[in-house]
Amino acid sequence: MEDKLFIIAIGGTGMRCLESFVHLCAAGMFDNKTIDILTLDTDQANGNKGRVESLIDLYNTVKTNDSQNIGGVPRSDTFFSAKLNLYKFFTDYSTTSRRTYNLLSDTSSLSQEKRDDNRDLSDLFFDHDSVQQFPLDHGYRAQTHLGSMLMYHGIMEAAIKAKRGGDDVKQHEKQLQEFLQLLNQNASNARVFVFGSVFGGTGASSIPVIPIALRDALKVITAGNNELNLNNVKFGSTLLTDYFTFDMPDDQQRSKDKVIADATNFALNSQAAMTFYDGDLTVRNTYKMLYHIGWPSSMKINYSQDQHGDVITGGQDQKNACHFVELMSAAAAYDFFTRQDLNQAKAEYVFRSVEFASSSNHEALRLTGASFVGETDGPLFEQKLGTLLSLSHLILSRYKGGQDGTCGTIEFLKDLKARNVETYKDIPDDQARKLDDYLKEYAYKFVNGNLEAGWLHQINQSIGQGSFIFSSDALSTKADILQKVDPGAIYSDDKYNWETGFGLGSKADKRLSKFIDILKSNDSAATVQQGGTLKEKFLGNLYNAIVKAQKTSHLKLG
Amino acid sequence: MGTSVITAYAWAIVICNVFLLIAAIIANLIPNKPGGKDISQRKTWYWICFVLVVLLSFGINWILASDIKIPSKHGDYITATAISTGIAAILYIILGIGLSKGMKRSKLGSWF
Repeated sequence: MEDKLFIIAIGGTGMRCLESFVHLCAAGMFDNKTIDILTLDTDQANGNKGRVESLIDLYNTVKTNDSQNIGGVPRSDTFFSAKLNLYKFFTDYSTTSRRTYNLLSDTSSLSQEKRDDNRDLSDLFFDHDSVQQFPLDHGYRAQTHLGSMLMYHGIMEAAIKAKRGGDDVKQHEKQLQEFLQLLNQNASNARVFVFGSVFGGTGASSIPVIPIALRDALKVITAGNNELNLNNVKFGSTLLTDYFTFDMPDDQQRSKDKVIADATNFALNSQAAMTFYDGDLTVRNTYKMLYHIGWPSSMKINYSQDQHGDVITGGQDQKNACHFVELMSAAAAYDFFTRQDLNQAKAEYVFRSVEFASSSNHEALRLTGASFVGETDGPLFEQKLGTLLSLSHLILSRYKGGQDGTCGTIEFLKDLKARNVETYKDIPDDQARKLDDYLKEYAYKFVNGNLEAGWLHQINQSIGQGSFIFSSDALSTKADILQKVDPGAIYSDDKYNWETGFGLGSKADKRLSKFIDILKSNDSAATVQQGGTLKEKFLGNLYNAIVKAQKTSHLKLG
Repeated sequence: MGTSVITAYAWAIVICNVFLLIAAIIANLIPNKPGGKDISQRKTWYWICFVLVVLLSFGINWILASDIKIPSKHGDYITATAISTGIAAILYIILGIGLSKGMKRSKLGSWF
């Protein structure tokens, strides 16, 4: 029986790793899979959390518009092939009585003696004036000793409330309960991959305790009748060390916020975390795979650049750009979900090296598909990502969908109708717009004539001067180049680019022309495996036509 | 007399088919472009070829007719020229519609 797949994304970095994972799903890297996703944060309003949750909603809307069956069914060899189910949970620190550890641990109902004992115990582990006083709703601010305890507490508290039932059970607590029950139902063949960093706050606090917290929470929910067998449920996670930095907060902000994660400590935090993950028996016994992912310290991105005012500690303003290591984390999840043998008793620690050219004034990564998923699946990875990028350029550039007020998919559908392809004329405009919206998230858009980089462009920008599968024009930072980019010539390696058709005009014109001819032919019509709804057939047809247009293809077609 | 008239019809049919072939080649040479500009270009070239069919069919036969010295035969040939031009024009359109509708999703589908 095929394993059931689960993802848990924790904290801001975890959310961005999940964003990369969702885009891999959109590119078709997880054919025929249903993946249940739990987003977990202390920060209900976190910008990265909101962004990825909206992205999953958009993914599901593009995949199907059936409100009775959100996200449709899993498909193969097409875009948006995996079915994603989203569950949202956050440890609620929004009310006044729960804002800080000090308030949360209030024991006013106890006797004075017991209160003093509790306070002494808290003061022993957590600094009274800083760690116990900072607002928790922007995360644990690199205070992992506090965070681990509070995350465990938050999950257990939600499980107790959900078990008790009644009107005061909140939506996010119900969703945690549903996720746990689903995990329980599939405990014998579940694979759970956890996204998060080890150097920050929420993710670093939660990764070590998550398996135990889920096990104990399930025990509560099932009234002690069932316990998650951590030998059967296979957990994997990234050990993602520091890859970004931000400016130091000034004294005024430090005084106001009590505790702020200090980016200058990230390397030290990472080092301490590595020592912990290497030695901690709970981690070694509860995880099957741990993926080391790091980044050259000389190439760190400063997330404070171009920002003014206080250092952003969280909240809806925290919407950091996506980064190469997050894609690498998503690739780690791919490895974990596709790996044949996961029966080892203790955690296996793995890493992969990538080509890195360094000289006195120049440092550059040389990235291919193999850098992410190994030699065997590398070409597949390159082609899947490129196929969706070709579609993005087709819709956003050639059919002007990237421009304000123009829907490229509507224009494309009109164009097909004018060419006597009437199969897709009933796709409603609002659904066509959703596809545009997704492609803008994946690639880029223009706002008032200015380029706004989407996910893949942000990933490329994080690599700096290195090379990343695609040609420089395909991921250009210049609006004028992108506005006339050739969707059929996006790869650095020409063998994956589209064949040039016969006729007059430039190579780009002839490539596009041949693609449209292929799209119109019956040979590229969607298969049953690619979908049954009109929109699925449209996506399958596009996928097939792009694959057939490529000179060399590693992608199988139904 | 019979031979002369057949020549007029033969020329008209040959010109019709040659220009239909040329229109098809041009249609396939024009690449598909976003916005359907290529569709109108193919249509334009198809009708340019139609005009050429009419002009050449009539023109060539008119020149051939001028060599016929016998007035009655000349008159017959001129009549055949007019009829054959009409036939060529109608045939061009019928074949054009047939090809366009028969290969709706090909580039010839742009004609109608």
